[in-house]
Amino acid sequence: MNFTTLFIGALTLKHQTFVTLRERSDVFWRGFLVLLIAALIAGLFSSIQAALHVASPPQDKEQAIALAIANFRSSYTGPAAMSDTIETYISEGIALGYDIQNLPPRAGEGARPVVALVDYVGNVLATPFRFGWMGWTLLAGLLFQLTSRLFGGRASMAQMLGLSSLAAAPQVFSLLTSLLALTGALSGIGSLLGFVIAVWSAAVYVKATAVAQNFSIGRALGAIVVGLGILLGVVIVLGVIVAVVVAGVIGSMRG
Amino acid sequence: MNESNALRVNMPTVDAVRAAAKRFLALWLGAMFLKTESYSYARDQKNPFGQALIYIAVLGVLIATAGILGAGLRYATLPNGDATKNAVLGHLQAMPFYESWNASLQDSFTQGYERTWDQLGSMFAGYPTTTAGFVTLLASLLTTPLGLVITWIVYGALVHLVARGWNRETSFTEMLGALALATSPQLLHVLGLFPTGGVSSGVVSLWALVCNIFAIRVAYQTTTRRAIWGAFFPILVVTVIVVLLVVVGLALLVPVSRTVGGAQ
Repeated sequence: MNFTTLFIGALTLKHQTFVTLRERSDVFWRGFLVLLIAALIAGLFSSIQAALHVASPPQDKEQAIALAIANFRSSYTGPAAMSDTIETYISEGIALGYDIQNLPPRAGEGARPVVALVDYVGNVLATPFRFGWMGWTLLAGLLFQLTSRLFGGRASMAQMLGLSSLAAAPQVFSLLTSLLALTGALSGIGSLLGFVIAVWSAAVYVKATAVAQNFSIGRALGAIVVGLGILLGVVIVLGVIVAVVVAGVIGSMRG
Repeated sequence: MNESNALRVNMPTVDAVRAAAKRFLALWLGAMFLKTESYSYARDQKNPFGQALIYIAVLGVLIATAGILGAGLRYATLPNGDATKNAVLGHLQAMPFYESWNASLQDSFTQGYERTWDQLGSMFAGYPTTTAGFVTLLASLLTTPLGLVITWIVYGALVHLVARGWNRETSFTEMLGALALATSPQLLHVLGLFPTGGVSSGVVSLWALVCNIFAIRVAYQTTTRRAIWGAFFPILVVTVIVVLLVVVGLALLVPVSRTVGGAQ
């Protein structure tokens, strides 16, 4: 099974592709390659905006300050005496951000394009290893591997991670949302496209879990929902513990 | 054999270096992508501890080298640290809170700002801004591998504490041999070479956790459920110790803050 067959098979949810991948000894490596390529392509486009920003920093500082102050004035309802002071903080804060962005690289003003290129390459290469890509694949893979055991699943960790990596394949189309964002037009279409890609990825994920664990789609969904429930529960419990500890410390310091 | 021959050290050939690099890469890929053969190979070495030590040392040196090169790249591509410091200070001094202070308070603020920048400036700059910082960076060639080795041995000892009963035939060093491969995800930190690149520590930790579970499963030839317990046991122990230290620290801190508050 070559890479193109694997990638297209993942996008089209082709059952045979998932089964063939599951039986390979290098299942995790092959699955990861799909995620890697999808993330690098998406990163190539999503990093353009930041690189352009570095190459030619914004020049319209006064305009940005005026806009921020106008926004503040339209929404401010506090005491009038405080308004001038807050406006000074806003204008100094924005001016600070602009001035730092406009500082030249140590290598000189002429090095800006090189800096932009180095930043761009760094951003693109780091994309597959961001939490939204490999981080989520590992966390969800580990969690759903555990909950799948409760439902009688028998996949190895490598099979679960390898197959669930295929869910990154539809994310390759996020290059379109990046391009739309770059042109600054059609933000509604961009959001809709983002939603479609997310649903598509979720469908591939469910299919991957079902094939990896030898489950029906319903059972795979059950394992995922239980896993998400556990994750949500852990987040809530941790949040409550942190809130209680912080409140306790503040209370005892005041007391 | 005469004396000059006995003292002669043969330089490794290019082919030998290439073959060693190829072996290292194959082992690293096998470790990252959970290949049972790689972990079994590391466990069944004649000297698993020695081989594992070399593997982790190479990883550590590669990570530290990338860190040093990255600091150099950041030094060249980021703005001058003093320019950044002065730009921030200039705007802070133009803010109403600063203008409302008297001259002595303004001086204290400026001195405090300078001191803070000296201590923490390298965190913002991304490269050492003091001699001590520069020495620390160079020392990372030693401290990074050392840190990885210490973590590996302590983690392994805690794992062996609970896992040795699962398979009496697996020795501590054999387990360490397999467990060393779980350090492999740390090598992703070499992407920190790029000023804006870098890999999330959370992703590296998650990947290392998965590799640890796999290494324990292979080392003791046990079930995944037991391996998960084995991998989480050291984390649990460290968490309990940290929580206890925090509680003890707070218990000591609160009376002190009350005393200070009362005295004022």
